[in-house]
Amino acid sequence: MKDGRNYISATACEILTRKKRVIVDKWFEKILETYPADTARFLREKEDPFGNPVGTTIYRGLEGLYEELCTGMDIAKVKACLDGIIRIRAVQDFTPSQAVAFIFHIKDVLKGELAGEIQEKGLSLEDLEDRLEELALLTFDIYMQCREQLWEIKVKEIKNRTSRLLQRANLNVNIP
Amino acid sequence: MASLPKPDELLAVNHKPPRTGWMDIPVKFRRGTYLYGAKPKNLEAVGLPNPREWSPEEEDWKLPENWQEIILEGLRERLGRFRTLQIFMDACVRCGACADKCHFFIGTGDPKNMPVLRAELLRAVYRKDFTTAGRLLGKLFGARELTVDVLKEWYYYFFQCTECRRCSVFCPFGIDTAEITMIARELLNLVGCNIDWIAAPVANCYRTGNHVGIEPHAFKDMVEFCVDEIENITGIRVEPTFNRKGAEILFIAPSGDVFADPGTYTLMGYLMLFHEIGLDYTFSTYASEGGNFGLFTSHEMMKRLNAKMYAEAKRLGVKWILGGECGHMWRVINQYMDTMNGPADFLEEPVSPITGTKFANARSTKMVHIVEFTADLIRNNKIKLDPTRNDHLRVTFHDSCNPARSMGLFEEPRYIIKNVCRNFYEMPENTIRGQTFCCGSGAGLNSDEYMEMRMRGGFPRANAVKYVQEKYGVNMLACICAVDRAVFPALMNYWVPGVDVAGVHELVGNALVMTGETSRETTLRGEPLPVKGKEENGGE
Repeated sequence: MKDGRNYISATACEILTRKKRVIVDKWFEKILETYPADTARFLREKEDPFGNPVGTTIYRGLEGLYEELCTGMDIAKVKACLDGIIRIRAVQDFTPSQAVAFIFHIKDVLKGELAGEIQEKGLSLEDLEDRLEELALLTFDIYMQCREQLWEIKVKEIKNRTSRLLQRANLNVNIP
Repeated sequence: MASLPKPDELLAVNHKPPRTGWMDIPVKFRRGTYLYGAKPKNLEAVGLPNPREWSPEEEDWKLPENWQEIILEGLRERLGRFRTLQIFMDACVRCGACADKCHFFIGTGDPKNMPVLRAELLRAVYRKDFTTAGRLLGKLFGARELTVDVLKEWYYYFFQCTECRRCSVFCPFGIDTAEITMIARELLNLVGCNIDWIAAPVANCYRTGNHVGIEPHAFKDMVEFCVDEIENITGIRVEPTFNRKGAEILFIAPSGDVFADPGTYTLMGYLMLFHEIGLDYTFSTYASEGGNFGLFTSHEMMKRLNAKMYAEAKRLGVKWILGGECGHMWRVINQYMDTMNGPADFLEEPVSPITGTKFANARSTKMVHIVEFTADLIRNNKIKLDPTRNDHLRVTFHDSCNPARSMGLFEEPRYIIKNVCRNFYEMPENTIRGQTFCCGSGAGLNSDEYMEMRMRGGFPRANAVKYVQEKYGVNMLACICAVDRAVFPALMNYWVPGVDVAGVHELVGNALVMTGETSRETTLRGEPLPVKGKEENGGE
């Protein structure tokens, strides 16, 4: 990460930055494919971030992640981007693997979009793939945090619903 | 031996959903995304049909033998009774204007949550049995036979609609999908397929007068608990009365304000305000609930539960009724009460005893919303307010669906907030007022077993809160609905940590300068008051 591991060469960085729009758009399309076709059509619209918060949040998250992949891998920024996307998918109708698989979907996009550069200029994606693996590990942490938080919220809500009644009946049990 | 899949087959994970038509995708009941079925004792308590132990996850729903006949007959009867239903069944041209307006569609990404498709669940059955073209052409005409799978789909999706009416704002024909949901829920109730989170409050309300089943002595006790807390904070002992005959006004709040935080702080606000202005009012321990889960069950049940308020008003001999910060109670009062149980001609046209203002809008129902009442007090300079006591708060306001879309109550709560707080910020235009996004847990869906789905449905609202949090540092979401106060803490915790939830009258209670009060050191939550002069006046 920031300490210089998985360093990406200046040439690779330049190529990746130039192709940012097309790669992020295709990556986004790959995520949209995990939704029903009618939904994907809606999620694709980006004009209104408040009318389409899911599509907008996912797109912005991917954009941010891509920038970090190409440049510094600032851990705080990476986590914020991943959190935005995973927080949504962690409560939608996906299995855990389906919820986080989007991290790997960029691989095919990169290979397709950069085929010319890989063949002609000898561009290697190995370093980038190492970074993706680190991201993949982070997705587990974030996914689990979201799911655990969901259960904590549930317990808190049940406790709050009865706490005043228990307090009044002198039955207050202080469980940390 | 059964053939085992090969490693490469196991690895061939398909992340794409099937491309089948909506009619051919059966519904799956997975924990966290559906609501538990009604317990028999709760159906029996109010005489609803087919009480039995059952679970939506089980294959056999233990339906009556002639359940199809019951539902189709029920639909026929309702098509005759409700002209709107007949129009809503025939008028939709599937233009799609409503499709992306539902918070559940936006949050779940499930096309059957598009209001047009949700309505289509009922409409397809209507076509099959009530239209000639549907009878002849079947699926070609979008008609569909009523099977057990269809019934299960109804249960899943009609209890995945909060009847918030946002979609109806955008429909060029004015089709109100909430009314379609209401009818579908009525039909489901005919064969015993209600959810317990609705059936239990209905049974409790019918028996004790409130959703939680708090009995009179406990209700009084809970209110007095708040009285003690007010005394600790202000040095003043407020003196609410209960079931007092001859009081001028009957006050009815949602019971959520009596027994759960942060609603209790709102209740403290009401009590302090009434004491300060010397209002002649009483609580009723029998009409101790503003909410009416009958609205989510059937028209008959709504009428039965609503009637208790007016029966109590009559028994106690009050002049009119003042209602607290509740959501769907106001839809019942404003849109149904008058034709169901009204006109309440044994009551008087409400007049504020403090300002003399006539509430002509409540001429027939005789019931005034507390934010109208308080806004009128402020406008007439009848109370002293110190908004700096709320300087630690940067407030935004969530228009609760029912007061907003069923009453048009947009300005009064904002007027109050701007007078009791100095930092107020609006969420984006297409997420407030008439276009407000639902909390995602209304219409009886605020159960804890439904948490995952609630997080999906509440995401559009939370997303707008997140925007004002990032832009203006908003840390308080104010609202005028008890369901909001009950469910927003969970929603904010998941999507926008750092934003708390309060009723508008909690903010009033903080700012209210009471005659003879001791120097206040804390807010109603017992938190230290902000240091004076520290924060600049901000907001809009």
